[in-house]
Amino acid sequence: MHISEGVLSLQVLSAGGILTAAGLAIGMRKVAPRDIPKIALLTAAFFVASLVHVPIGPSNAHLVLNGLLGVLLGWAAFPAIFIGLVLQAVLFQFGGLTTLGVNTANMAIPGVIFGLIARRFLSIERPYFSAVVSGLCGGLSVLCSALLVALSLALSGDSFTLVAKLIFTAHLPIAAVEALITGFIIRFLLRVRPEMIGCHTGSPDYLKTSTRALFFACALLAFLVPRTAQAHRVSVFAWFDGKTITGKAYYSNGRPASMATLLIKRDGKAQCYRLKTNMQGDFTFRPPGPGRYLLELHAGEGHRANTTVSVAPLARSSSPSTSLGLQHGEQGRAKPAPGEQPEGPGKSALGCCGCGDIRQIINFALEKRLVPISKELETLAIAETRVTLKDVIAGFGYIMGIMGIWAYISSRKRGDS
Amino acid sequence: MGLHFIEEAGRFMTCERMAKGDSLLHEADPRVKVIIAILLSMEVVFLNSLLPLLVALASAVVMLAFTGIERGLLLRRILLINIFVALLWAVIPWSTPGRTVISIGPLNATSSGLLKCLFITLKCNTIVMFNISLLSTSSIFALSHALDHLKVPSVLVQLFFFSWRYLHVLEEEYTRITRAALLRGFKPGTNILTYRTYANVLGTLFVRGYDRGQRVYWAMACRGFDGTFWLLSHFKLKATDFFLISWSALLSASLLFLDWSSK
Repeated sequence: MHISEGVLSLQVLSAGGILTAAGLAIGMRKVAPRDIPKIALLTAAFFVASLVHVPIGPSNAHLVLNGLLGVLLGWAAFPAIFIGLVLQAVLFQFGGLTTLGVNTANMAIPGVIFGLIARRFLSIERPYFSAVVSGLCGGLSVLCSALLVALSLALSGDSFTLVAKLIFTAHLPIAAVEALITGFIIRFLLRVRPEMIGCHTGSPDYLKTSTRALFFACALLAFLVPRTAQAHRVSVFAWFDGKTITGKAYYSNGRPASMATLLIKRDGKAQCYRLKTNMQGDFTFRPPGPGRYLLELHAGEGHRANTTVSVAPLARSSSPSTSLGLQHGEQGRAKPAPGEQPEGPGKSALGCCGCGDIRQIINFALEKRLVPISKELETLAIAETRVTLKDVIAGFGYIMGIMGIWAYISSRKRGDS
Repeated sequence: MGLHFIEEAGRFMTCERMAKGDSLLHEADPRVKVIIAILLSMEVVFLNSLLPLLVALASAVVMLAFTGIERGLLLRRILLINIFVALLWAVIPWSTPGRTVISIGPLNATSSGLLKCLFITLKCNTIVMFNISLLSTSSIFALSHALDHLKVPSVLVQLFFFSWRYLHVLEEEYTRITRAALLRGFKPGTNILTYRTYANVLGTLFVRGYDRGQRVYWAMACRGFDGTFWLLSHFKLKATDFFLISWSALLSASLLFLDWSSK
């Protein structure tokens, strides 16, 4: 669970430091002077316990127990984990001074959040249910910590991606064992010393809140997970290539939106055009004149996407515009040809016409050149809207953040430590 | 396995061993050492080219030699730290894109990956050596005093100090419980019984820690404890401290200059 010194980037290190400072500030406010010896003793016990090597198959692993500490101490788990890591850094040089912030944040944030949630469900009257909930809390805490470790590595550079994946995978069996052990410890403590957990005695009123909280958590997960993991938005990408508006409609998983309806509205005009994309999701449209065009895609099931394309009057080379002439006039002033006689206005008009031809040719060549670039842009835009692993992890982060805020508020309301 | 663990837990007995000694670094003011350790570690993380990193490593080795800590102990510690670094060496050179330098079968090591690994190894070892020579040469008691003098929040200092104070007690407790389990024929394996036994052992440990914490608090309350951490020893800067300060200032300035000039 430790990240060594000199691995992480400066940004990740400082972000971890800030998070840890905030967590410590909250945690220390929850610690009354009379609790100090108790928390210190539990920190020491946690330190000893984290050196226990538990066999898993042919190998063994040491326990993390951040979820258990979260259940036992709530917010005070933040300073406890911090102190545990400081001791390890000073005594064994595991971790270190600069990574202290990141390591504390990685271990304490999931522990505190899941611990505060699990605390609400613990009751002496339902030891098995309490054990299962706290076991889940222990397992999820380790899993989320591993995820955070992997994330801090992955954010520090692309070369760490594989290491991050390896570390996360290695923590899967550890999380399972941790869940079992945390559950058993809580069952043991409920039997032997229930006041240590400070749990409720299962009044009907409390049961109602716990069910409500569970429902709320499930609803939140149900709401957020599909939205982040599987949601396929529809997007439309279009550009003007001189004569026509060309583009592509696609879903965020990269699939083209075939046979979708496209409504095109011209800015400031009442008329509206309607067309359908082909099987590849492509479409072309010849705009009747310059202006801004709003493209509205309807792909069924409420999938909608908008984009605007502006058609510049300049590019429509069939009618020479005023700006073209002006440019030509400036050019003529700046570069008087030395060998030629100054020419009259009639000749100038002729030159303008020739220039228009040249412009037309240049435009044509340029468009031909630009088509592959536009295609490239299109694929890039598709790649950008696709849901990646990063988005999924970010979704996890949102869930945890919202849960954390909720846990913090609810723990404040109850006014316990 | 269980016996193996008991031996392992015995490490606590030796972990303040580095704090014993009479070298210049052992004598120095812990406040100065804490600040220097933090600043130098941060600076090493910040360094971005090979030459200053090598200079930093060399100076860390020199400082380590100055402490006069037993060589075997030091080597074991540093070797242990490098296990994670070895993991990085096994993965990063082969998975970083760049110019291929070495190829073994289907695997290609790139120059950028190798360089990255080299940097990490240097940084990690340098910081660890700085920490050993600056922090581990003070006792935890002296360090907590220094932290309190440096205006670290009192709750944290007290937690730090008390945790350390009762680490040994709980470790002994743990050894006793494990021994009891072993005497009753407990054999660890991958099964539910093992995990339940471990859970009960740890649960007992937590209960004993909790009870002892309660008793310690009552005992302290009887003696007038009100949350204040009274300082017994006060530090005064000596000539050695000024020497240490100027040396590390010189070191960090030259590291920064080397880093800046080799860019």
